[in-house]
Amino acid sequence: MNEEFLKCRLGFIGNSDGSAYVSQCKTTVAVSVVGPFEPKSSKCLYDRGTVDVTFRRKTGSITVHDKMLEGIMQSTCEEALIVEQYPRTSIAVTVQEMQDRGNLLATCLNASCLALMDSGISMHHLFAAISCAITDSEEIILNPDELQINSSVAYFTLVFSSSESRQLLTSHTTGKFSHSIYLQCMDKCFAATREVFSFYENMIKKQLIYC
Amino acid sequence: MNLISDCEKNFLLEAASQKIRLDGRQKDEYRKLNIEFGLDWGNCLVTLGTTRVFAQVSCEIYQPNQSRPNEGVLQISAELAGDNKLTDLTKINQILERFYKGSKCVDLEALCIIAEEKVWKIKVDLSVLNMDGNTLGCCSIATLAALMHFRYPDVVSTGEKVIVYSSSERDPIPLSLHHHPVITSFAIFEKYDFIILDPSFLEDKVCDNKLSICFNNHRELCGVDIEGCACLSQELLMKCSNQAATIAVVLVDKIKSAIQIDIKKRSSKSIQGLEPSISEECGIKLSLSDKFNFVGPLTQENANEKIEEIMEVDQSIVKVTTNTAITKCHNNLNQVNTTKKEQDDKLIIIDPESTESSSNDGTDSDVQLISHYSLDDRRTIIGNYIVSDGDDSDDSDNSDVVILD
Repeated sequence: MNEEFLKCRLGFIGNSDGSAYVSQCKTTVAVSVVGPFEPKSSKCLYDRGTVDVTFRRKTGSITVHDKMLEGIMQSTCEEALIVEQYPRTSIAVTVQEMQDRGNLLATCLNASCLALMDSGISMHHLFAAISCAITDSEEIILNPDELQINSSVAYFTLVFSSSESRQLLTSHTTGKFSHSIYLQCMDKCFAATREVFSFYENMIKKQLIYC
Repeated sequence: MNLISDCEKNFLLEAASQKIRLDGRQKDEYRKLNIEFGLDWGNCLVTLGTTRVFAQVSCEIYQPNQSRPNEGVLQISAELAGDNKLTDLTKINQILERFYKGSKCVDLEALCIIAEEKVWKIKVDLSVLNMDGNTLGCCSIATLAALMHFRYPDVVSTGEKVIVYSSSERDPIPLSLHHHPVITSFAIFEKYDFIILDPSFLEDKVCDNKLSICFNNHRELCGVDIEGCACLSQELLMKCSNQAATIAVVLVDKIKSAIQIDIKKRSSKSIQGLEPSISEECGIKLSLSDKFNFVGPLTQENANEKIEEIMEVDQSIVKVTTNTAITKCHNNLNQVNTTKKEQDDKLIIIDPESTESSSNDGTDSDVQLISHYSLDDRRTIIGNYIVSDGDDSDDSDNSDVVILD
């Protein structure tokens, strides 16, 4: 397992309401949250706020796959936020990739949660994402590196909420795997997310002490 | 964010009339410059005070312009990473393109693979993460640092075929730069004859006039941009130019030394890449441990196993108190974590190895059978062994046992 799993700084991007600069192993992203602000009238919903996630690659252009990641992030964020509290507004989340060495989706999701926490927008629950890879011998590797991902038969990214009971929010999988392996992964990832949540807690504590 | 109150404006002007800056800097003092390089080539994060610009250079094979068939293409684009639509970066984009393309600092002819057919297109993508004054200056430092750091793959053209070598086959080549231009920004308060270097966000908004001068490391002028309405004397312009030239040399030296440090780190394989710096005041890190405490439901695998054995409960009955949660991994029952248990159920753990099979058909009334164990169920589980209370009626505990089907 990696020595340093998560590193984070909040309030990194100045011209936003909340931001986080997070590196998970060697993958680094910066997320900024702006909002709730008044959107164009075409985007305005009378009973709830809209969440807009923009994923930016470091080279500027994004692919279809990146659009899909954007969609996953959007639905996860929207589920976590209490959008009913912000009618007729829009919340913009911008995810800037800075360095990619595997587990990009998990890093982006964790960073967006930290940025949303920093912005002070009401949330139902927090969320934490963990990736794991399954090897040929059905071994589960949590938070694999790039090599391990490439040589794996299946690769999961699971997102859990911070609630007491186990709530799976998002599951993104690639490859072939058995049902039991999936459930085993869920056990492992769920246990790992508990550590991520305690990390979130410490992060906010530290932020409150020093700011 | 982009509007400034009158109080702020007046206060700043008042300070300017006394030739004082709000952050206490001298008028020709630059903020702290920090350049970090990422794991990839041509990837850097430049921090000037709190202005942050992230740059990434990329390359692709491209068809050249008709007018310049044997030249590569350089493209610079800056975008704001925070979704603040109020600020417009087109001006910065224009200036950067003009200064960097116009000064011909990148040897574009060296980027030609086959004339009129294939050339390299070099793209510089700048993401402005934080705008806190002197965005242009910071962008120019980021552009130059990224271009100097960038390596493009080696290409061999064998008449018909073009072979692009990956970095593992052949070492990628650095871009050849003729000179290193860098932009220095000034803010001018004409009324008070106060010229300041590296303006902060407020100073940038309040000043009468903005002057950006681009100089290279040979003290050659590469471009001037004047924004605002004050008329500048020739004398003033010369003075600023001289100052800008000196600063450009210092900045280029700084970038060069940063790149040298980075390359040294790369050769010794101790490169970290971009990551948040952790200090006392801000930032925190988490190390993931190897072992987790598994709390909660079992995996389906165990549930699917058929119940073959029925066991008798003997001494290995453990009474579980309120503060104990039970889990099972690798078919061993372990007590792993103490969590608060909501129900005050009394549960029984059976040690599967030490018990003998019993003849009793163990569907007792005391035993609660659960056919489906839902994920959000927080009740503890015993395992896939049916608990029977033995031949005689249970006398010790009126236990409710949860059994997985």
